Amino acid sequence: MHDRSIAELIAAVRSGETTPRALTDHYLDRIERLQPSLNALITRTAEAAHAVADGLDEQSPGALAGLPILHKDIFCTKGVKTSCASRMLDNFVAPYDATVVERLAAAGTVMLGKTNMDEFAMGSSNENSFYGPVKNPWNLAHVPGGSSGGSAAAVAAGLAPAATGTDTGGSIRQPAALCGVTGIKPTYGRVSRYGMIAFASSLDQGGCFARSAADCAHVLSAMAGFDPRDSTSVERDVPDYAAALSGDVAGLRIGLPREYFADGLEADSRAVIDAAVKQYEALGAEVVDIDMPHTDLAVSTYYVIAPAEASSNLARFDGVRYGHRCDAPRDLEDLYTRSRGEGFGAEVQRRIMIGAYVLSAGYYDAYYIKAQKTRRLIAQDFQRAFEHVDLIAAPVTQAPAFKLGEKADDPVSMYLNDVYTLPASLAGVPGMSVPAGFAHGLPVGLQLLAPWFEEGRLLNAGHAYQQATDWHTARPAGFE
Amino acid sequence: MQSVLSGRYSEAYATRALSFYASFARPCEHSKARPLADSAGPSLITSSETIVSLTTDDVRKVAHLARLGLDDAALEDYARELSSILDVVDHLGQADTTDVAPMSHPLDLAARLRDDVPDATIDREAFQSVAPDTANGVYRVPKVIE
Amino acid sequence: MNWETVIGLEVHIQLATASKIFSSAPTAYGAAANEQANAVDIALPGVLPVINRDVIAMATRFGLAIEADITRASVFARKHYFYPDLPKGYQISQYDLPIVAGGHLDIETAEQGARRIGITRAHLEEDAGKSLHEAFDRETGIDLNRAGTPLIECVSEPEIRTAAEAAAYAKKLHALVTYLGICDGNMAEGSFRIDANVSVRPAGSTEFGTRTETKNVNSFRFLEKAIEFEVERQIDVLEAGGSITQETRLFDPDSGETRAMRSKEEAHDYRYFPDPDLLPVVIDEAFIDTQRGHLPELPDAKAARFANEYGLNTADATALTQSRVLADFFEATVAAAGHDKAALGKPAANWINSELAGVLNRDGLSIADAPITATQLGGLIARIQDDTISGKIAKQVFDALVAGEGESADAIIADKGLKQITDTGAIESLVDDAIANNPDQVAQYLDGKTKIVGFLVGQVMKASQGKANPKDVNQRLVAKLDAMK
Repeated sequence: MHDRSIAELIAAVRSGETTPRALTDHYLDRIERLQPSLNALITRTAEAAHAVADGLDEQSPGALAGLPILHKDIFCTKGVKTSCASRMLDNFVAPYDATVVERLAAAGTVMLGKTNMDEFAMGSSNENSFYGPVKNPWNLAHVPGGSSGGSAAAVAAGLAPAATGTDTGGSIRQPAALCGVTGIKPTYGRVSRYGMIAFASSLDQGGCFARSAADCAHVLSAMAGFDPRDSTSVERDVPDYAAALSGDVAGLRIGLPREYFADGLEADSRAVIDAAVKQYEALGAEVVDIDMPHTDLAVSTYYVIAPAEASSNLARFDGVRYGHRCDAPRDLEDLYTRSRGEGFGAEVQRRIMIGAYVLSAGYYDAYYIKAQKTRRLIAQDFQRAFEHVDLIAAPVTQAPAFKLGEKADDPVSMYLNDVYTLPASLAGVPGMSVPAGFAHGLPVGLQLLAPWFEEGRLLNAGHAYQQATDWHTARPAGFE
Repeated sequence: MQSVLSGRYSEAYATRALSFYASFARPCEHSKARPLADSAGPSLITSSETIVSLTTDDVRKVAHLARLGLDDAALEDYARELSSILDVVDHLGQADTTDVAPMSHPLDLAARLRDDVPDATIDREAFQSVAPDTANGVYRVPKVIE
Repeated sequence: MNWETVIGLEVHIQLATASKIFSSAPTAYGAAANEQANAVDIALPGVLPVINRDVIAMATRFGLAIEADITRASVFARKHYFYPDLPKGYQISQYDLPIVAGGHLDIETAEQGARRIGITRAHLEEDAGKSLHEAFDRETGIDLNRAGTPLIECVSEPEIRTAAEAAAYAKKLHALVTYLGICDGNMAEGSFRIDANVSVRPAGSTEFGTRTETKNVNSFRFLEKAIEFEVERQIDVLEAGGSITQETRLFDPDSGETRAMRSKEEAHDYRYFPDPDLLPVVIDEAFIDTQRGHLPELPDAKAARFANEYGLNTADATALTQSRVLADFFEATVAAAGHDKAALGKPAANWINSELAGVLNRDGLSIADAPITATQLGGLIARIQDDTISGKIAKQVFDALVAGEGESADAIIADKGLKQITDTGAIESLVDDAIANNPDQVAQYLDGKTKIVGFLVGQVMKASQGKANPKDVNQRLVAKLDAMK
């Protein structure tokens, strides 16, 4: 059952071959058995899932009626704990549903639980969780990537056919690559941010994980679209991505940015990417080298803008209206400093301090304004590139998943790891990771980037590749 | 979509913002004091050695600004880590951004405005069910003296 | 030493929208605590702001009314500080690109004469909630109903020189925003809040002295008192060789004094940056034209028209245009009194500014709650104009209308039989009686002291119970007395 595509699962429900309840139980059972070794979930919602599934049948409207799904614990879910993997929100039960949750529920999905993540989505390894790290199903000693590591690991392990995620600097694409699943980050503004707990407002974008581009197309069609509650949501029709998949990439011009294939890229990973590019050529695509000369500014730009916005977005966690409050505060100052000191983990505190620092009087110009300018240079690289090519192909990471704890003491080396995913986030263009092979026994992802609002082109390119290869169908041992 | 190349709204912002901030900004001691890392050339940047450190006192100040209660023991670790992060960030200084308008947002779009229609459905009880301390419908904090 | 006072006012004008600036929660005053604070107002994780169009429209109308520049792409920024009534840990405000830049108000005071006060800027921002310090023994209560209420903060140039000018500026601004219909003007409920930045410097100096900011001034009278106190205090400190501390002070209406706030003042580092949840507010010419079309006649223009159309002097015209309700009352009164605006304006102004103002003052009412309608007052004035009643009787009718003793002046005149005597024979006989009964006064008149005729008119009026026409009586008396010479 869990090897089937989403289209097949939906068809099985429609035809009466299976029921939403049976599907739900199948995945809940896998979660029961496999979650302990992975720690991919923070909360299981079996009871609620049963109630929802029992209310659905083959007649139910909704494009995804009966499809089990997991939500990253950054999305507010009414009546269900929404922790952002932080001690700060360990006791927080959201009083409302995020737009993404609402839309996917309206499409007939059945929520099985909430996935583990890096605290407040800050991290690339899922080691920054109050609930402990998530393990990579391909090798339990390795990280799954982050910040949406729980969602990626869960889909890789077949705990759910699909899971939601968010991507601020690579938090969907990177764990998708490291866990060998397909993950898409749409164009900024495509998916509503309402109810998605903010990390960096000008970068955060919701997306999803599934086993294939075609599966992602089904989920994205249901979750994307204009939301009047989000001022940055774009009023633009959402195509039926699944219906538009042709699998044809003949004549597509694919650009390979030289800057993404420079010294840092590990040799075996590079071989995987090169082979994937050859595959596209075999499918009739035209491959050209391109220059994205400001790529080297992405890390420094991102680590000004994202912490600045984060320091501001996380100011609301003050122990007054919700969330962690320290014991017996002496006075207001004590209430704030202890609640926040105790409630936030070290990485979150580092980023809050960096953010407060770069925004403070006297530093604003040199850091924040400067980073906004370099951000434009990076965005212009994409604008220019897409005048010549239809898609960009690149690695997602410099190397496959590293070992748990390997970089835990060195935040900077962790940051530098995001070099290939940050530029697209800063520019706001859509990006995707598709499984493209293995290096050192661990999955390697191919990153595809498209112009603003061309998610359909991305999904189709991923689909074409997956029609011709079977990397995406591989299952880690022990999770077959 | 408005082209990111034009920065239609951002240009006005840039001119005003820069002159405004310049009016009160003290010189940026931190950035100017440090030589910037060599150009990374074709490869992406690599972690450079720490050139200048934030002092524990700097960290204490910024932690206070952000209302983060830190142990004294943690201050030193944070000072080292934040310094190395700022070293990475200082790479920005290399970029020639003459005539480049700041980009506040990936979408160079204008705000969409909402109709002035009130919606009185407010579930105070639900909102306050997650609050640490409430009484008679108000949130409570330690006494504040004005 | 001679000291010069430098005053700048920052006024928070609460906009009269139905919903909040960034959320759809209602703005009505007086709901139970936190019953009008929705998920956005209490800053639940994940919520986002969406800008209320009417807030932008109102700010645009305000900018047009003070002849300011309307910023074509204004930007909302986050202003960070921690305080329990500020749920997000930042206030969404405007910083370097406010929606309104420049502008001015013209004021006039007896001492300083007519002056133009510059307005630096007016920006939009959200209000904070309320801290309830008295609600509990050891805790402060937080009510977020007010959080997110739209405000314009209007900042004047430091060009105001006296407490009287400050009051005149504040009154003018208050009249303007209530005219525009963008603020209910209710100062007791905090809809129009004034902070006064005050400093003093030796006369002739071009440098500013250290200023203090006095908050919590919720009436024009208190504003004058607070500034007068603060100026005197600062001069005393400086003349005693001390120096002024830059600080926030609170005005205590009971003592008439200002005091420094007890909470520790620290150097604020607000870390402003453009709010990434909101895009720039772009205003085009069409929008501005639409708002211009919605501008009502403003106080200065209306005063000029009143002087011109109704033949009023400047003082009357200014007084009657202090508020839109009052000006409307005046015009409705004249319209009810008749067609000849030039002739009816002055008596209508007199009745409103003296008799009606007296009643309102006595009963602590505003013009909106006047116990007599413009139609009633106009009807009364009509009867004076057509000589149906005398001025003296008119006062009686006015009191009866105020007391609710009749629907209209006509009804009261009829009920009480107050109509002037028009029967010539009856008046003739009263005149004859007065001449016969007052030989001494008649003798004085014939002796050349013609002013004494007033006494005789009075006797006739008394005998007629006020119902005779005094002008007519006067004429008849003079004719008869002159005939006796």
